[in-house]
Amino acid sequence: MLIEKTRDEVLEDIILSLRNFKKSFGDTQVLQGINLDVRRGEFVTLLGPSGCGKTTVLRIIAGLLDADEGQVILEGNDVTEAPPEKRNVNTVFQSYALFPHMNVGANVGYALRIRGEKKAKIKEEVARALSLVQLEGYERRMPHELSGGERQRVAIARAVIAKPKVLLLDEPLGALDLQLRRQMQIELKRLQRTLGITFIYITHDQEEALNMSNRIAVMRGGVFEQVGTPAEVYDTPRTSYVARFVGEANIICGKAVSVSDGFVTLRTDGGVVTARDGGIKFRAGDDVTISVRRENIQIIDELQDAGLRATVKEKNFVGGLLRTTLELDDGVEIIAARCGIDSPHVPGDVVYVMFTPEHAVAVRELP
Amino acid sequence: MSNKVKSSKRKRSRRSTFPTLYLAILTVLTYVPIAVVVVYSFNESKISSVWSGLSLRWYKELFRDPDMFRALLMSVLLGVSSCLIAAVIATLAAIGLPRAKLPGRKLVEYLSSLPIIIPEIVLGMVFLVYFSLLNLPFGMTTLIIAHTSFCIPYIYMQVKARLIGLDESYYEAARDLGASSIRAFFDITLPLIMPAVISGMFLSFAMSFDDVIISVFVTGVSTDTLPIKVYTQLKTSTTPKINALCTLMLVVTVFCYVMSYVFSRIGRRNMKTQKEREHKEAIRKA
Repeated sequence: MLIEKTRDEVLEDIILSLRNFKKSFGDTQVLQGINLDVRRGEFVTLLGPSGCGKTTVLRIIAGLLDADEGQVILEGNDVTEAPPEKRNVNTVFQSYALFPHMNVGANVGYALRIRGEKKAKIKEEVARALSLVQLEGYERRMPHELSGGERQRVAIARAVIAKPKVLLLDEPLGALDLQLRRQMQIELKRLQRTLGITFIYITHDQEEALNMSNRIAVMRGGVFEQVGTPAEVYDTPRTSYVARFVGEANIICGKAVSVSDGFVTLRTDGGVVTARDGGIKFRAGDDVTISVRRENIQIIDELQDAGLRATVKEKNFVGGLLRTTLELDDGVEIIAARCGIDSPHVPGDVVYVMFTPEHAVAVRELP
Repeated sequence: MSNKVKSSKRKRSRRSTFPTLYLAILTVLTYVPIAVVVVYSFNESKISSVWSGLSLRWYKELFRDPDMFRALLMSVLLGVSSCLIAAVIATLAAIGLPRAKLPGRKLVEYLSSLPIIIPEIVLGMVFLVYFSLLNLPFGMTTLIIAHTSFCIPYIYMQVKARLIGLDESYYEAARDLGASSIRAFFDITLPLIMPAVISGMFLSFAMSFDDVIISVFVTGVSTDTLPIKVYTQLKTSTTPKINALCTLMLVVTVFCYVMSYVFSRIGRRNMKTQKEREHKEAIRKA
């Protein structure tokens, strides 16, 4: 069935639309209304903790699972009811799922063999796919002879050989060690650009999501809390959950005292600060929650026009950054990070915490 | 302190006594009689109880006996055909049942292994009555039906155990890459469970090959199998030929058990290496 494309879909070249997915397993509702439009050639990441339903979304797109409600629309065709083999979508499984009784060549060429391609053509395509993932000449190896990283590459080669419209990747780097993961992030990104295939990528690693994606959908409890570019999600988180999950932002609560042109000023127990309103309409007296990134927090000794009083609790030197843990007067703990190995402050010092209003943003507090 | 040492010592000695005792009982009750039969099958003498020298005389006589040869043929034909039929049915059941959305699925699964528990004599009687009711002529057909029915559980259980350990994502990956459900079954699932199917087939061939009780009830005039032959011959006389025959049957049965074990190991080994690797990787990551 051909679905009439909306004007936006034509303009933005939407390749895949998820419309209001719902899914329950028994009594637990895993997905409660998932909507997403993916543009052609886009790298979209579903980011969330384990159990938030991201794999379920992927399995519904692949056709391995039926949604209770909602539609999957691929290039204008409703494929909600189509079996997995009739969708031009391929998956890189979390466990790779390389067929253990077939060698690498047979694994990678499987999709073409199903289509009934000629042997010579399959051989040629397999060689090309393997060279794409830098595994030239691996055709005769068996999956159990490969290292984790190699198996991962084979899984990718197998999934892209049939030139799917959309490639689904379910935590493909989850089983690799840190160094290999960093390297594969770069390679995957390069691969995506070379092939021009739309990627839908699942991860629980916010760093990975920020590094690789064109857009990130932050998922929690079966809904998307925010969908946006890495910059949007990082700089302007919509909810306190997104702020915490992506980059572990500091969360400060208070009451609005005044509102002006995109900014809100709030009073907390430790003082008065101003932040961007994040598109939320506040009135004086409303509860306000703001998010401030660690690297945007400055520690000063004397109170200037705006700032919050705090006590230095702890100092750590982690990953090239000095992390200072402070406690505000209302008991909230915040962390400031800056370059350098040490600062003049010692635990117990009473200091002031400040940040420019542009670097803080009001967020919604969802249950 | 000294108490502890003592008790652990006592424990250790008890631990080693018990298996030794068990092995001794097992040997006296089972393996010695078997060994006697095997040894005496090479006895030259016509009287079983007298040893008069090593010889293959009884084996030669056995192979010269057209009746015996016919019985052997019957047994092999029966065993092979019933375990092939049972393999198809049991594999389909093991794959289909867990996915079926029918009420009482659990009960059906449970009933599948019942023929192992039902006393053979009861099963034999039941088949006898049932086949007479159906007016089926007793012979190869009735034998195959009866043997198939008790072979199914052995294969079913092996295949089911293998399927439980099999990662569903292999099948899903095949579907994802464009295979229909039937194609994915033949390309992926079947080869992966094949060792279990073969293992179960060897086991059920062994069961069929030495079955007397059920066979006696449903056999026809000219379809006596080897075990029936042994049984009826024993009633008349115990010639040393029977020793030779028993030894040969023993060899076949043991071979089947060993093959069954080997194939069940093949399946498990593949899975194990994969699990171990994942485990190792997890450790390395941590």
